[in-house]
Amino acid sequence: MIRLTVMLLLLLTQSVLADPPGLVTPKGTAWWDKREHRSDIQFPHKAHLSILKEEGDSCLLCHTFAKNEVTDPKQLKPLETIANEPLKAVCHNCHVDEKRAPWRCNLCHDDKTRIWPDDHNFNYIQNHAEDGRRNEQACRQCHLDLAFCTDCHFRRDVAGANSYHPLGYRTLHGIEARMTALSCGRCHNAQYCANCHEANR
Amino acid sequence: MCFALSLTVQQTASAKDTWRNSQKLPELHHAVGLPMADADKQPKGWPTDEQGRLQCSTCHGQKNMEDRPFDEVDKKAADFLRGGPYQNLEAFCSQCHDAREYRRPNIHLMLNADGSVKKDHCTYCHEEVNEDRNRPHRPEELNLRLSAGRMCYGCHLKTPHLNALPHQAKPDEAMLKQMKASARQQGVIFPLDEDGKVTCVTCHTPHEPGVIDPAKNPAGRQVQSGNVKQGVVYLDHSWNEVVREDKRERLEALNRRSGGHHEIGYRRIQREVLLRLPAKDGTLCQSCHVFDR
Repeated sequence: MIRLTVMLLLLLTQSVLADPPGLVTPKGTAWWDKREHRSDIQFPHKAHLSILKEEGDSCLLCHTFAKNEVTDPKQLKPLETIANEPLKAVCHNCHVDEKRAPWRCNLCHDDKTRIWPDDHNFNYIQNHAEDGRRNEQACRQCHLDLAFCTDCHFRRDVAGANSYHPLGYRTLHGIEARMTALSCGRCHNAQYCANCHEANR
Repeated sequence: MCFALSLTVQQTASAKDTWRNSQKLPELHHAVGLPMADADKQPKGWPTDEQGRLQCSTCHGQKNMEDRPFDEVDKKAADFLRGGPYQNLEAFCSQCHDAREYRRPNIHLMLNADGSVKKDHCTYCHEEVNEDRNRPHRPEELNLRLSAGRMCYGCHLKTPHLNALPHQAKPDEAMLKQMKASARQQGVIFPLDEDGKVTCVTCHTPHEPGVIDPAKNPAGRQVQSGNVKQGVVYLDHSWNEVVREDKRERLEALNRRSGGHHEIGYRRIQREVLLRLPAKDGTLCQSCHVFDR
């Protein structure tokens, strides 16, 4: 009995680990099979109707009514699921590759953490340079707007109320660094701090 | 092609039988042991016996077919049917039989050259020719040979195109309301089957333009871009590559699982026929489907 309970607990633990809370698609299962349960992808049909018409296409672009020779409903169902569900290639053709359509990621992906690569953890900002140099195209698959890079790399503060670091910030930055260290970390790595603080010791 | 007449009425064999020991054939098998009809042609390398009669090896490429138990015959082998494998079985039949002799008429071509109606085409579906076609009719006045929901399946499959089957469902109240509003606005009809389900004639009209006057009867309103004889005309389009890439990985997985060879691409519709409203610009779809965003 005890052995049975332990096995049951192990099985339950495994299933929880395999399907973490918040992730609807169990690991190892194709996500399109579970698409109807996902909340992180959205397709605003109405917003696309006029552009489809303008370009000479229609609903049939994504929902094909092509001639079919499969008669067994059991075989037909998975085929129609695939036929009806456009994925990355179709959406990204306009929204990413050709940028003919709005190209903000959060337009469709309302939770960006779901499309982040695994290595984009908190420290990644300190390590991104090497990846960027090695394969810039990989970065630009998602970071379509170069401002994402230049906001930090080319930033030059200007005086005034709207500047990133207002006049006299050097005197006050210690307070903000303690309050929101994460904000500092978006642009500055630890060495940037150490350059002054270590030297002054 | 209908070759039902040539199907054997011999007693059906069991799975373990062979032709030689039982002289029985599997269900719906072509006749064996009969001479070929004069009108049929015998392809080279398709042997009959010394008296010119059909034998197993006339049609089957596998050796010693007559000695194999029926359940041991590999029906998926390329030479199970000589010249195979065949995507379309009719291509095999027409090696001997003249395909033109068995071709079904397109009964949706309903007008003679002088514009008069081909009355024999009406009576495929209706019990009698309706001379009062330009008046809107109630379903029971149509004198259909079968119910509207089953009529088309006499000639067409239930799954003639992708997404046909999922559409054969009962619309909910909101959609029904939308359909009625669209029908009124567009001057068309969207007939449902006897159970209130969407069926072929909800979207398609069986009547060629010119049979029913759309100005007098909304049942006659339909797309005008194509002609029925030519059928739907498609244009190749650059989206084809994008759609194929989109489906590639999933179709490969499905094909591995099912052993099929499914492909999904995209061709843009240039001309369409026998539709109550245009599908190529989405008007037909949006008669039922509305979206908040």
